[in-house]
Amino acid sequence: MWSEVQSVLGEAMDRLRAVLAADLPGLVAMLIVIVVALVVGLVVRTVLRLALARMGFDRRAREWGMTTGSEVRPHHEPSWLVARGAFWFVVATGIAIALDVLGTSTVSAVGLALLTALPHIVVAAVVLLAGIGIARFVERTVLIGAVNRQIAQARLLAVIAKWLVVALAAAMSLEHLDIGGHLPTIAFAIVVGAAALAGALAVGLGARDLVARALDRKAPGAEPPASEPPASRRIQHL
Amino acid sequence: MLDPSRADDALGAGVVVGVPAEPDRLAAAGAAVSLHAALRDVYPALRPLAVVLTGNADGATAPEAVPVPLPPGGAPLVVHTGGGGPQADLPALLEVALAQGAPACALLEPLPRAADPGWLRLLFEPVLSGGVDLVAPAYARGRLEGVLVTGIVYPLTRTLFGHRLRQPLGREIVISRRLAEVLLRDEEWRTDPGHAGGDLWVVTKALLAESTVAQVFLGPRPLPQRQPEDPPALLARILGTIFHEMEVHARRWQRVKGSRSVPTTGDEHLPDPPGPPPSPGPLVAAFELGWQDLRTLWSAVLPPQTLLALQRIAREPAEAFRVPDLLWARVIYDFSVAWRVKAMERAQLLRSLTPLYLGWVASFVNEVAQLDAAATEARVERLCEAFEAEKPYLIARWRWPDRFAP
Repeated sequence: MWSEVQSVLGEAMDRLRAVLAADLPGLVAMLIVIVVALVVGLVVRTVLRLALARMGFDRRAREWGMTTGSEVRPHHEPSWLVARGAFWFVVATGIAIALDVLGTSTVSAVGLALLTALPHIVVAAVVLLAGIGIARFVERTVLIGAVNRQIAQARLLAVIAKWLVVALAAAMSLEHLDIGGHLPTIAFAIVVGAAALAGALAVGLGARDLVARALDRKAPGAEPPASEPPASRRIQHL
Repeated sequence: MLDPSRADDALGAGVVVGVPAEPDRLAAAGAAVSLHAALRDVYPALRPLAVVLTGNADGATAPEAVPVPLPPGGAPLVVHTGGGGPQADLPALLEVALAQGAPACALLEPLPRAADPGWLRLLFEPVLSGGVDLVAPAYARGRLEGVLVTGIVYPLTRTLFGHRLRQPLGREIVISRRLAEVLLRDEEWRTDPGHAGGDLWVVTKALLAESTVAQVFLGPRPLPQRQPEDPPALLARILGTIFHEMEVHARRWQRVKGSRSVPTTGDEHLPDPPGPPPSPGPLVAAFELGWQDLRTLWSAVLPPQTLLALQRIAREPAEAFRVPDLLWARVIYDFSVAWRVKAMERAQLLRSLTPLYLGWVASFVNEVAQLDAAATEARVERLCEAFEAEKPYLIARWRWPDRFAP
């Protein structure tokens, strides 16, 4: 009985040794790849941090309305976020390569799939982030412009403009990731078309007279409207 | 560009006047002919010269090739500025004046002028015989004309550069030969061509070069000042120019203390047209809408105590609406600092000031509605004193914007 147990254990140890002998180089290679990826990621993060700081990236992000400057906590500035994103991109790439290096068919397939998807994910994220930045800039522009034109619904207009740009960026990102087929594009087109139609109906039904008066004022040789004060009561700014 | 050291090579015209051809070349030609005749009447011994300055090279002469004496004929001489827009007019004029060895030159708009050429004597005499380097021609105005100049440009430039020049933005200018040489040598023609020669540039250079400056009021403007832009665009353009000057000359203006008057000729006040003053209601409504929707943006520019003060005045009825002088000065200073550190995109920043500016205009209308010209000027003087009193605040914020960050 004992000799049988010994023989089973010996066979198991032999198999384990054989497996280890076969897979250990792959495991070591995987560990090396991950360590190298971590080191490269750290270097990329540091270089990016310094380069973006030198370029004044945070100031430009604040200038373009992506951050307000007062609400950003330390290590949460846009340059830090970009550097961290780059770090995790390098690490994720390293993991994908490491899985491929391991050599097992299943994990290799996972690594390959990850390697193929990563660039798309990064591009989609960049498109979305850029879209959000542009959306904030557009929101601010529309808000200031509408307030200066004395439009009472200035904030509503600004929010609509912002979300239109965000929706456009999201649709582009989803399409790039091939999620939902053509559905995001179609949905976006429907939303924009509906908004345009609603706006046209609102102007046509509710503000027809106002638009007519505005067009009359723009016409060459048009008389100033009766509501406008005479020249003597106007203020000259320059 | 002409080397100023060549100025003594040829002695030609004694006084040179340039008239910008754009946008109306015909009017400029007519103005140059009548200016030439008027200058001959006033200064027959000085061999005056009036030229049209154009960016169009067709039929135009290079500035350094202006013939002396002028060929006979009624048509004015057309000088090519090189096509750099209105800002190229000034260097071309300076080159002509220095090439001619003229002791004085002037850039004047093509306006229908008074038949009596005595106004030209008023303009040139301080330079020709008074030792003045720069004369700023200005026009008499009503109380509610040029409110942007009254409320921001005049108090701010006076505080920054220490000279009480009432209308520092005018394109018209009379310059001595000494100042012309200094201006023509300036590095900014090369380093900052988009800005050199623009509004305020010459005046700033003259004030900071310790040149002698005078202003001459020529009575009412023959043609009303064009008001082509809406207030936001106007604010963005004018304040952008001033803030740029602040940034370029930051070291100089921080050393300037107080202000001194400049020699002034003529009366700057024009009687107001009959009728009641404008209602402040729409202006106050614009301020209130701005307070409602833009205060989140302003919170990135203005410190909390300023926002609190604005909140308080936003509750006042239109007829009692007042913006205190010290508050207004701080608002302008805070915006200049925000412009410098790019707290937000610069055009957006300047345009977002519009409701605050309209609020100040409403306050000014309320305050001067019942005042005569002298009392209005005293009111403007108090505003300028407030700007000067708050200059240490500006300097502190300018030097350490982060320490004072809202």
